[in-house]
Amino acid sequence: MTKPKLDDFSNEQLVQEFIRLSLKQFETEYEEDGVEDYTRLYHAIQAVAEALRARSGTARRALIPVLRHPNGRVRINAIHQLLAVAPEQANAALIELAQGPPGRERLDARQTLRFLAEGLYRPT
Amino acid sequence: MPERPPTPETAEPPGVGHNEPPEPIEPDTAKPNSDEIPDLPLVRPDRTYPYGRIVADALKGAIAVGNWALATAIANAADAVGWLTDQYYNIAASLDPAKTYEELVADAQVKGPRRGYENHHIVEQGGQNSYLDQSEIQSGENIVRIPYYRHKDVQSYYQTPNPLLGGLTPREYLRGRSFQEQFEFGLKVLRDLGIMK
Repeated sequence: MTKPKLDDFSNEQLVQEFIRLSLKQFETEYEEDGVEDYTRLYHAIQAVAEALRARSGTARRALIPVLRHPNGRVRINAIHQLLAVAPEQANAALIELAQGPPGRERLDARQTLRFLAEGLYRPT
Repeated sequence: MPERPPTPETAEPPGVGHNEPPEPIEPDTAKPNSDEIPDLPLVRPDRTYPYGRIVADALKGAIAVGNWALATAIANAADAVGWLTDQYYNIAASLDPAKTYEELVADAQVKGPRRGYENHHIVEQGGQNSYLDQSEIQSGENIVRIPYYRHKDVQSYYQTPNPLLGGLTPREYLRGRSFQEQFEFGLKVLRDLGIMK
């Protein structure tokens, strides 16, 4: 069976795909050698995000509800896609994650805050 | 001649370290929510590592909120399956609280391996840093001993693409930078992962 193209997905389907891939990426953090799978999933998630970006300016905002997802990996991935288009909500979620329990997601959140403050990261 | 112990009449009220029995502790009767106890297969899976990580995280979460009934239930569940023993040292080490840089360096100075832990070079050793002074990389100040699971987190972090770095891995991002820059970057990683205070 041919894999459906992301271009054929509705916004909501892209959001669901974004969540599904992010959860799989989270699972790789529990693998002893999950680097390859994590990287593959990173690029797959970027492709989904690009498909949203390629649409109207508001399509990416379909990810806003994902900021309340219970999984931290899903949230941090959504934050990176939303900092430019929904900065208030994305920043609030980022601060909350940065204050959460130690782990990879907290590391990513704190580093994002630092890079933003130092002007090393300009979300687009 | 040794001093005689005080008689009950002359004895001071008991202080720290006295032999009086402790105040009775209210038993923790709160039943742990079974959803919070990791689901472990009865038959040994091919890889026990992921389950060790899951148990460690669950234990850490329960301990962090002082839910000892839940922590006990998680430990009992891990013990009951019988096949997780090869992860016990890793699980125990992962419960370490954050330590100071000095403590982590001192731990690494202890000769020989310690189960559940690995030595970590803050500025990575390897070909990507071949342009740096290798004596700095191998110096005691650059080596810390950290829990095995946390070391895997650090290693994975350095090797995976990061949106902050334009999709580069931290290892790629740091290539060409000075020892000091890499060292400071590495300390922040240890701090944000909750390994270092």
